[in-house]
This record gives sequence, C-alpha cells and structure tokens, in this order.
Amino acid sequence: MNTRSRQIYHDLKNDHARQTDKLFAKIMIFQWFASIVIAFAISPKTWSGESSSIHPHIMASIVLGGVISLFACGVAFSWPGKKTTRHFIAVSQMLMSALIIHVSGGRVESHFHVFGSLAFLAFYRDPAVLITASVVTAADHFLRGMYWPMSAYGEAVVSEWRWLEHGAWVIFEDFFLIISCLQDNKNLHILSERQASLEEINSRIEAEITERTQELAEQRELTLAKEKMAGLGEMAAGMAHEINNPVAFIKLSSEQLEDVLGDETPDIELCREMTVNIQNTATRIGAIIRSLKSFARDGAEDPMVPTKVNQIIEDTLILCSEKFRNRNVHLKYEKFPETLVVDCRAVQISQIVLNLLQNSLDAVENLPEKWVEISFEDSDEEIKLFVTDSGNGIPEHIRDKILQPFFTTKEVGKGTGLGLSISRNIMSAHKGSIDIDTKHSNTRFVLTFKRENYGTHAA
Amino acid sequence: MKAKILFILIWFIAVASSFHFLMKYSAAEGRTGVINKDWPESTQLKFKNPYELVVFIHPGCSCSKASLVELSRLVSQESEIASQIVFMKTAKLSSLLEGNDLLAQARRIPRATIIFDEDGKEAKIFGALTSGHTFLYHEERGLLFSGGITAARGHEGKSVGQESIQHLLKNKPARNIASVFGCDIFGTLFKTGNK
Repeated sequence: MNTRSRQIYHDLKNDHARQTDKLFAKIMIFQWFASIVIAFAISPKTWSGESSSIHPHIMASIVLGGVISLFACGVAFSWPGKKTTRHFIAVSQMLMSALIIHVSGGRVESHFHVFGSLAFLAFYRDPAVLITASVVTAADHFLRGMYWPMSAYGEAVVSEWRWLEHGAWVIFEDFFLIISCLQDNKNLHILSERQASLEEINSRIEAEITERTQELAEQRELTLAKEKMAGLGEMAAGMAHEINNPVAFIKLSSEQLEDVLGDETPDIELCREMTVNIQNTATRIGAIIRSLKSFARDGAEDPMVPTKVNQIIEDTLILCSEKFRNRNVHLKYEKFPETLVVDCRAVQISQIVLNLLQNSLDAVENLPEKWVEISFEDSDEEIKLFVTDSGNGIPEHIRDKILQPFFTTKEVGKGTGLGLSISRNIMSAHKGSIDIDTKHSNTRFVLTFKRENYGTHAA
Repeated sequence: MKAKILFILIWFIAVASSFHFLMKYSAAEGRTGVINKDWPESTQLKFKNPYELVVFIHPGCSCSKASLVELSRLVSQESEIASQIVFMKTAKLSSLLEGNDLLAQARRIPRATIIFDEDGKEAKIFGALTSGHTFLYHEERGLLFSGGITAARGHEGKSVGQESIQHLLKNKPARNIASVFGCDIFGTLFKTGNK
C-alpha cells in the first residue's frame, strides 16, 4: 500500500466514522424517546394502596436516558470521526440497552436490543468498538450479578462465573461481526488502492492533456501569426509600388535640385518648392512604414482606448489603397466625422477592416462592376461600420459557416480560413459583433460597437 | 484534556448513580404481614384441591404483570395445581378494575379463579401486603411457600420463589420463603404489617 492509498483509506475510514457518529446521534435520540414511551406503556404509575404516583421507570427513562443519549449526541457532534467518540458511543449504546431492558421488565425480547446494538455498532467497521461494547455488557452483568443478582439473572444466588455464560452469546455474535468488519476493512483497502491507481492514471492523462493543450495554443498562435503575415504578404506587392513611387520621385527631385543648384544663378524659389515636395514625399513614406509596423505588432494586450474611427480607417487604407488602384477597384470612402470615436484596440480593429477589404477585393476582382465602400451609421446605442462591395451577397448555404474557423471559399493556398473567425473573436472581446447584412442587395459586413460598453472593457 | 476528564467524570457519576437508584428501586422488597402456617379459618376462599396457590394483586400495580406472567408459566408446567388470584378492591380502586389489563391477563391463566377482595379483607387475613405475594398451601401440610415469584420489581424471568414452588410440588427440599416485589396493596390503609 503506497502513501496515497493509505491516505485515501484513512480519509474513507474517517468519513465513514463521521457519518456513523451522526447516525448514532439520531439513533440515541430515537432510543431515548422510545424508552420513555416503553416506560409509559408498561409502567405508567406505581401504587401504594389507593394513591398513585409516576413510576420511577418513567423518571429513569427521562433522566438516565437523557444523560446517556444527550451526552453521546454531544460527543458525536463535537468530535465526529475520533476514535474516543465511537468508543464513548459504544458504551452509551450498551447502557441504553441495559436501560431499555430494565424498563421493559427484563422481557426476553428486549434482550435482543443488545444484539441489535452490536450489529449497529459494527457499522463502524472497527472491531475494537465491538470489544468495548461487549466489555460494557459483560461488566453490567458482572456487577449486577455481584450486587443485584436477581435483576441480572433472576436468581438470588448465582455462580461468580455466571456472567460469562451470558457474555458467551455476545462473544458468539462478536465473532461473526468482527469477521465482517475485517472483511469490510480489507475491501476498503482494495478500494483505496484502486482509487489511488485511478488517480495516478488521471493525473498522467491530465498532464498529457495540459501538454497537448499548450501545444495547441502554441499552434494557434502560430496560425494567427501566419494569417496576419499572409495579409501582409498579400499587400507586399502593392506596398512595394506604394513606396517605390515616392522613392523614385525623391530621387528624381533631388537630381533636379542638384542641377538647379549647379546653375550660376539658382532659382531659390524653385529649390524651396522642390525641397518641400521631397519632405512631403518622405513624410508619406514614413506614414506607410508606421502603419505597417503598427499592423505587424500584436495588439491583443493593448488597453482599450477611445480612438477616432477615421484614424483606424486611414491607417488601414495606407496599407491597401495601392492594391485597389492596381486592380482597378473603386474604393469609396468619405472621411468620417472627427467626433466618431470607439473604445477599442485600434490595431485589432484595423486588422478586421483590412481583412474585410482584402476579402472584398478578392470577391469583386472578376466582376464587371468593381467597387468597395466603407461607411458608417451612428445612433445613441451603437456605432455601425459597414464594408460593402459590389458582390451579390453571401450565398445562404454558407452564411452560417463563414464565420467559423478554417472555412474559406478562396482557392487553396490563398486563404487560411481564419480571417473572419479571428475577426469575430476580436469583436467579442470588444463586446461588439461582426455580422452579414442579409437584407442589403450587395455583400455587406457590419461591425457593431455598443456605446454602453464604453469604459467597461478590461484594460 | 482536563475538561474532557471532568466531562467523563460527571457523565460517569450521573449514569452510575441513576443506575444505582434504578437497581435499588427494582430490588426493594415489599412488606409482608403476619403469615398463617395453616389455611386461615376466617377466610372466605375455598380449599378445593390438594394444593392451593393464592396470589394477591393490586389492580394498578404494573410490576404485577410480571408476577402473572410467571404464574401463568408455573401453572402451565405444573398441571396438578390451580390458582386463586385475589384482586384488591375498594370503592376508590373499583374504577381501576374496569377494562383492567391485569384482570384480563389473570383470566387467561389456566385453572385460575378470580376473586375480588373487598377492602383487602382476605389480604389482611393471609398477611399479603405487597402485590404479587403468593402462597402455596397443602391440604395436610399447611403453608409450603410464602413470597414473590419474580426476581425483582416487574422483572420477568427465573426467580427463587418460582423454583421453590416447583420443587415443593415435587416434594423436593426448597426454600419456603422469598422476597416479594411489587406495589404496596394497602399503603396508608393498613399500617400494622411488618417487613
């Protein structure tokens, strides 16, 4: 038996002892009332000529029965599960037997209370408790045999070994009860060992599950990063063009500037103008790179802060407007009011918008009419951000699946199927939602931000 | 620890003293009057058989239930004897006799004659002052046994009195006196009896 199974065995024994203590507390109270009822039924009054008084058996049942039962109850509830408690209860139970036998007039049937008590005490599965109970019964017979032999044996003069004859019946019952207790304890040992073994297996399985979960989480992180990088990769071509043009412009302008400065009388005004153009172009390149850096960063740990929707849209468009131009897709966007603000993690919302724009771009690429529109709707309760394209809507049979992970209608290698699923998770974290507007004649995705949630997000 | 020892001590004293009181009460012998060695001449009871077993009962005495149980056992084992069960009756106690359990129990005993003893006249004649007092008379040898046939107050089971009667009926040597356990038949109504 190892340490754990010993611990389980000890706990089970202790629980069982506690339950049995409480059971005996109830039995004690029941017996107390029963002894009073028996005394009332058998000997309500004692008579002396024409006068009567309450029979002493009734008083004995109330007082003696109360002392035995209430003390036993008190011990059972004050120190449940303790070894001394069950021995005290065993002594009390056998004294209760003696009282009940006495008030019932020593009838043969009432002696079965002793045997019944021993059987109940065997619930403790502790042979020592049975021995204590038997010693009390033997001592009761021994002492009464010595001092009141008639009450114990119905004879005035009895052999000094007579108590053993009565005790033999108790020992006879004890023999079988003790065997039963030992067998129960053996079974409990086996049960404890099995439980310890099961716990060990469970613990191993749990460790394995934790390890696998960790691996899955890491895998998920990688997939998310991949999804994001895929988005960035898609933009790379457009970005190159976006940056190449201003770089070429700077190069050309600086060459021209050099030429002008080489003149005998350089046109200072022209030089200033060219310098301003170079500065503006460099600022634009800086903005593109800032947006790119911002997008590449993981914004999941950012705090929720009030952000202008305009800012989010414009930062996103810097990354993809060139691509729209290259594919001849008309991007309809009119600057939103400066007062339109949402409580959000800007990088994550930007990721959603970029993902929706990318999807729309892919969807309308081969349509005769190609446009994508970004618009909004503002009310007291919520702000809705719409990304609408010239498509004819999402087919009904895939509407339910479209927001699920790994679902994609794009050709293999072009999409991970995680974009909309991630978008949905992000909007949930913002206590908002992403939906398909099925009533609109074109394909329209709606991002909803609830105003009531502003300021309630965890930082 | 001290509190626990004190607790057990108080409990032990309370239980031991209560049991002591109970035992003392159960083993307290009842009083007896002047016993006649021969069948009393002044009695109205009839001597009909070679042996006459007379038992005096107080109708309210719950302890006498055990005496009647033992009497029933005795007459079942000894077919040659009949018994006369004498119930104390006074004006005040007569209401007790209506629907009385002891009376019903006595009527179920084989070969038993029930007699109502007005104001305990017969009890006084026989010297029976305690409920359950039993007398065994022989037509020639007179009084063979006087005493109780239970081991304690209201306690069923073997007793000296019961064993003595059985031996005496078989002409075996036996004690002819035993303690009587039961309620006082007269109480303050009759104070002349001695223990």
